[in-house]
Amino acid sequence: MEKNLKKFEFVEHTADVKFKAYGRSLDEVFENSVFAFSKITAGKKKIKRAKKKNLKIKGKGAENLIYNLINELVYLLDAENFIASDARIKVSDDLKQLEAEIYGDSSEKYRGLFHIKSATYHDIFLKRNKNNLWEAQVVVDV
Amino acid sequence: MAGIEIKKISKNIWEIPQHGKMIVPGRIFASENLVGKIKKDETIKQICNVASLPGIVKYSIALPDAHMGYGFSVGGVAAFDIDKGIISPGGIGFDINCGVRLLSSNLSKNEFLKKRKETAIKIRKDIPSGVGRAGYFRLSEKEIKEILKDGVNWAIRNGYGEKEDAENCEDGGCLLGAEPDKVSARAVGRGRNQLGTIGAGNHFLEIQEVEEIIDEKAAEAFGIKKGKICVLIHSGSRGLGHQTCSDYIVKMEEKYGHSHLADRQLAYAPIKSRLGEDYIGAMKSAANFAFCNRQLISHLVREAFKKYFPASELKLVYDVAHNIAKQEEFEIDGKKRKLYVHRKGATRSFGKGNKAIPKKYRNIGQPIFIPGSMGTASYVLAGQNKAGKISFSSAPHGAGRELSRSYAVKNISAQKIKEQLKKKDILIEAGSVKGIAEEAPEAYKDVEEVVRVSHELGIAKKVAKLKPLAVIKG
Repeated sequence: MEKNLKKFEFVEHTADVKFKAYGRSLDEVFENSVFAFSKITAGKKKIKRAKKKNLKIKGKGAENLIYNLINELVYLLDAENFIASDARIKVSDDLKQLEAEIYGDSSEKYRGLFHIKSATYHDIFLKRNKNNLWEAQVVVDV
Repeated sequence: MAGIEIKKISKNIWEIPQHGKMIVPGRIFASENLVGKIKKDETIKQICNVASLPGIVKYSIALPDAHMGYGFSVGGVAAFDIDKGIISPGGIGFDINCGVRLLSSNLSKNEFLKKRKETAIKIRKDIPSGVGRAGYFRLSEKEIKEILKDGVNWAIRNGYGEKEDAENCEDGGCLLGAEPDKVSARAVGRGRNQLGTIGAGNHFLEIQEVEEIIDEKAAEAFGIKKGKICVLIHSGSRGLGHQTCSDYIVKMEEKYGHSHLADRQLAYAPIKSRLGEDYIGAMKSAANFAFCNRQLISHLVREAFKKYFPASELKLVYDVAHNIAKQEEFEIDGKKRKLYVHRKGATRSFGKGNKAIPKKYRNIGQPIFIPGSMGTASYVLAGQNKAGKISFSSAPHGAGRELSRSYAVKNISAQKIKEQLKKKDILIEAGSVKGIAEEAPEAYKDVEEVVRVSHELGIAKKVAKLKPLAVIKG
């Protein structure tokens, strides 16, 4: 197992933002997707862990679950002015539910944040890659 | 894309012959140079995917500004048979009724330049752009529901505009048949504090000078005069529209599955189905929210101008939607047919005599606006009847991206862009440095070429060229 696992990386897409997140476990690949979300919205700004939200998210399988998680973060930013920094996540074995502790801060304290309109299903996947790591790919509309 | 044949039909028209699961061929309207750019990403594949959707009629179309999107390409147009066809939220986009409106004024460039900075700062303060900043308008849930039903009319009723403003919007700024109850509470929650805000990404507000009149008669009808100031507003339905699209993609996937789709983002429902009708009711509601949003932004712009130029008058030229689906009638192989036209990053182009456009423009064709990238010119065009014959009455919506945002941020310096804009005497008020790099002019195709190709094809006619003086963005 790699010690310094790359959490996520961006992949070229003409108009939108595509990322790949990695994890040694399912929990970790979901947590690293939250990091990717935070990086897309906050850029170089460091988001403080000033608040915590406990969430339960349901889905119909891996891809739907990650789509719903990203969209929940988008919702929190738009409707509750909460910007995520990172998360602790526990995914159920059947991939139909996750419990998350999302850390972050009030978005009103930060200027020049970036917006995500939504996660998309375009090119979405969550699978084990050849290095035996979990790998998730998501395109978000910005 | 390698391996997919693209045949040249004539100057500016290309065809992707039917193959695989395609029901109709693909058709690209572009110059040799623009086709070269379109081939670089997955646009061609996306045109083919759309061509395989049930009930599609004639062609899956890409306009001169087309580029890769998700599901449909941006700059994509597809028309579906009303009885056998489908409606796809991904074919409209997350930002339902993202669109552009242009205000013309009686103010000259020289007068405006005296208070340019003050005006731009006030507008940026009063009309938040970017993320997580609530707008000036705080409305109850009941009021939001009224907006979803009434669009621009709600704003006018409440003193945020003139009766004439509604007449100068596509569909009168209010799509009939909106069903606010089909919009989720989450969608309302996301949009509630965002009325009167521009948003982030490629949304902007630009103060421009009419630099050149190309068609005198049309410009006169549109009220556009050389040397006068115009304001271009690019925004949409904000979080309310994004959530509505997202909600219905999930619902459609739940009901119809996704294993049959070439791209999961192309989830659809038959137009004549309960879910299809529900989405159409929700989409129209979100479209009305967007029309109202652009009206409220216009109200704040007018107030800002009033402060520094008390005698200024800003009139709405027109308001166009460029992410929308609409029922329209077209003659296909000699027969009139009712179709549901999806325009994703495409402007409707109705020509002379069309009863759907305001009377005062009926001798000309509807106004169309093609904004350039940041710091470059924008164009006013007029709709043409030829578009009804070749592009389901559609014209481009912008210059169209060419480089990815991440490439732009890595390779283009925001500071350099600021200097370039300064050299061109363009003021920029932006919320973020990264946003400037992402929207760098180099990241876009050349608007001049997109406009020229549209004009040559006869899908829209050049009317006037607008030069930016101040850009306000997130």
